[in-house]
Amino acid sequence: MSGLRRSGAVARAGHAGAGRGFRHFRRGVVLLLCSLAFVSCASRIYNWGPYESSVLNSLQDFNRRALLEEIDRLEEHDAELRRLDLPAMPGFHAQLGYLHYLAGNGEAAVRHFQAEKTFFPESSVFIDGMLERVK
Amino acid sequence: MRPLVITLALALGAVSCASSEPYDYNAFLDHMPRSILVLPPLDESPEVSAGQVYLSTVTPPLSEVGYYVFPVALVDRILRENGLPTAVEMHAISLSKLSEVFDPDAVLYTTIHKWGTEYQVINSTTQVVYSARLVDARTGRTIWSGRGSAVQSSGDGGGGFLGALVGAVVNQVATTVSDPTPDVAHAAHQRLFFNKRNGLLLGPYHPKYEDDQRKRREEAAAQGPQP
Repeated sequence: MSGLRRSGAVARAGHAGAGRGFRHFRRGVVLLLCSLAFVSCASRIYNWGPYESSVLNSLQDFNRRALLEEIDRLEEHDAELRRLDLPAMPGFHAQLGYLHYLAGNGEAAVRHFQAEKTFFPESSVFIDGMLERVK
Repeated sequence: MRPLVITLALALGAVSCASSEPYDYNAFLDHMPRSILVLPPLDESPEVSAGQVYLSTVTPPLSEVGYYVFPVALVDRILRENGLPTAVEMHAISLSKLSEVFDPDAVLYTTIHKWGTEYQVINSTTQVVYSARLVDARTGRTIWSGRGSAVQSSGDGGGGFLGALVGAVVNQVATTVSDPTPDVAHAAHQRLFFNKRNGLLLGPYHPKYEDDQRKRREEAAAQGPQP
């Protein structure tokens, strides 16, 4: 019974999809007009990559395997930023340093905390506190 | 198409009416920050992940305006480890204590009013509404405040009642795969922070910072001193 119902839903979903294209278009128009009316030209300074999802994951509880995957993703993005000679985003190296600290990689943690301080001297007091912890 | 036209007309009307009174940027200009500490938000919504999604989505737009933003996940952890389990306790910390640990120029206090997706019979609506207050960390003075909001509705597509019903089911299934709330939050942040009329002033890391400062100071001087 549930299988039947599901296949029916899929068949009708195809039909509903036709209306959706228009809706997406309309939403696009609304967003465009909104952005023209409200928003000044937002030129991008940074290339964010996986940073935002990494922050969300680390705000939630995650296990060691997820932690190591997160580190790999951010290290990869860091390599990409350096390859393209792009500036680091605020908090990026601090976040990566902290993940290394949680994983027990003291040396990498210190390296990234210092990078945060170099890119953004505003973080000095906070990062010095973090460096104390790692020691 | 008619509802769209009406919505637009209302939106434009609201903008033109409100723009007769320019936002007072004097306090902002007097305490121009380089760095912003975003505290985890107070949450009036029933959505448990609201604070986390807010924190993770707010860093890119604030940074793109030109400020240094302290690493939000790290700040959250450090405050928790220091015996402050919720945003309520975190918002009660003195500015002098925050300065001792983080040394920010300004602190952003946020309250979430509405957050997440509601499923009605024939459609679903994702809504984000919050208010934010930027406080100078040295004087405690509020230098800017605003309200961010964005709504995304789905399920108003064609196909009559039955089509709409299926649309709602499909949307609900799709939503469990990818939550639309972060995108709606992005739209809300964008509209609030980048708004030229009453948004944030451009920060020191923005390429047009000097220009913006000069223009804003001229405007403030033309308006005369504010009480």
